[in-house]
Amino acid sequence: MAKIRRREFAKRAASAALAGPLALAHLAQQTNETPRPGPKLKLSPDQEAAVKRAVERREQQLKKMRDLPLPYDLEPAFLFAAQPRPRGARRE
Amino acid sequence: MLSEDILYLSVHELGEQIRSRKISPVELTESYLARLEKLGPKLGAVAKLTPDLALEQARVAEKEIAAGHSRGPLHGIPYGAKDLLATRGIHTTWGAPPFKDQVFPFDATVIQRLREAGAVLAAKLAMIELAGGGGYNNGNASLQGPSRCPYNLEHWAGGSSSGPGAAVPSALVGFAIGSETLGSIITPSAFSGVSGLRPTYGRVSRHGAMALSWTMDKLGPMCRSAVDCGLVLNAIAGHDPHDRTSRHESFTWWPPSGSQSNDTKRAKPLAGKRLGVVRPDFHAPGGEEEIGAAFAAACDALKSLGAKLEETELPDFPYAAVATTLYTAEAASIFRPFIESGKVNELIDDTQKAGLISVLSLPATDYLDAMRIRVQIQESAAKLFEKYDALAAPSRTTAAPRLDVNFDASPAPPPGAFDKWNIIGMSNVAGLPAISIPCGFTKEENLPAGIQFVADALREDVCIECAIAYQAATEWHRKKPNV
Repeated sequence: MAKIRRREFAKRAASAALAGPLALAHLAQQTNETPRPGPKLKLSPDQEAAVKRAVERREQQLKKMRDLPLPYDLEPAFLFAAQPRPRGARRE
Repeated sequence: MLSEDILYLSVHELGEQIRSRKISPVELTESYLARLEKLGPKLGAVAKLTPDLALEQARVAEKEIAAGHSRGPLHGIPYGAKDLLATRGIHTTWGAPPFKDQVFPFDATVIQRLREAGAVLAAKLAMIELAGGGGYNNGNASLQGPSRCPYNLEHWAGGSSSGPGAAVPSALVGFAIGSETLGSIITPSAFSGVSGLRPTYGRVSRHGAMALSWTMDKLGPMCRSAVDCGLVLNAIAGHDPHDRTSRHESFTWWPPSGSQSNDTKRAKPLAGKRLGVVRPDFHAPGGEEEIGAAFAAACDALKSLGAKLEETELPDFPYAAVATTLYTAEAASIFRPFIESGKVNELIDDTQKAGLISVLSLPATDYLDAMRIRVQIQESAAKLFEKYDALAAPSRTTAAPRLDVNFDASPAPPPGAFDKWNIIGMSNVAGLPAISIPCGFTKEENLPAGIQFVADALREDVCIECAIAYQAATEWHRKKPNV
């Protein structure tokens, strides 16, 4: 299987989302995943164009963010904490 | 009915009159309700009046006060809540047609806390649909129609807390509660001449408020003075087990006494305060020179009050991209069933529809990168507050736009063009508090200009202190609109 860079993948996935349920099903077939029920959302040609513009605008805006070199060990601004079982709780 | 002059008093002043029994909470409530009914539609301020509940709460307040039991400075004061706050048995529309019949069986924590403080809920106030989570193209993007700037009805009140923006300066209520994810308290405060406080992220419980962004949503007071913002924040701040992000640190603030013995302190109330001034280029596209002049005059006033001002710049980060990525990704997760079901098409604004649909394809890696850059933004903001007590900046670089203007009509600036002045983006990403207060009006169109003070996390007291000093020396916040 040919390698695909994550930006390229994101672009393709965005196009697939725009193209609607058929494209999603096709994508799912390729990856041997069960397709999810098709969304009821149907876009008019005008809406498709508007969504495409919104995605393009976002891609432009994200460029500066994506170009920032981030230190390898920079963690995101949220913490996951494992929750211990409350003391005294009965074992299952 | 009480006179208009009384209805324009601040919460602080109204509270004093109620406690000394010069005015009655019932009469005050009846007067505000009449004004809401008369002027609410003209200003596009109201989502729903709550007269039965308001009068019931006002009667209880009156009895308690008569019996010598005061619940504090908000006791008997009518207020309005942005229509994204759940109110038991009363419609909560989120400003959006698909939710026009939505009714919650419980009160948001903020509503509950205000009830415990004795405040009187007089109205749910209009807002931009879904708080503008997908973006929007003009001020008409609301189930309730456009909210108007009370100082010039041809212009927008600002959003997404548009109803509070229209209602507070026109004295339809004593105060209001708004919400901010990225500018939704600061913007209407600037455009409509409100004193609006956006608290530190986590300072006020969001339980029962429409979720747009779990990591960026805040609730805060919108009032006619900075003193009032402090009084209202006292009542609504604090930990809530229903909101895991709510902070345990207490917030207790009281207005400075009028009889301070130290004359120097009275003359120079900001002596020793170090303010970093973030001054945008008002000559560049997206700036208005008149707003720049009002900001410059406000800075001069701050100097004369003893503050030490120093021009500064925000650290170089893509604030707009980070902020937008954070909240739109979270909004996409929150509203995914709504979007995929096709209900999104029932929204009013086409930009909002396209924006919400498009974020379904935002890569998770971008969201995580934004969350990582957020750490750097927080750290660099913290360094700024080693040097300054607060940052002072214009709340917005323009006055309120006309209601018939489409935001998309003007050519989009290059991405990131305003990042070095994007204090709304920086402070919201870092979860910092800010207050916006009026600092002037444009000459021809009579539109408010605002100055904001941003402080370190949990230092709302610093924001309020700067704003109070400024308001004690100026009259902009007392200017009444001709409605």
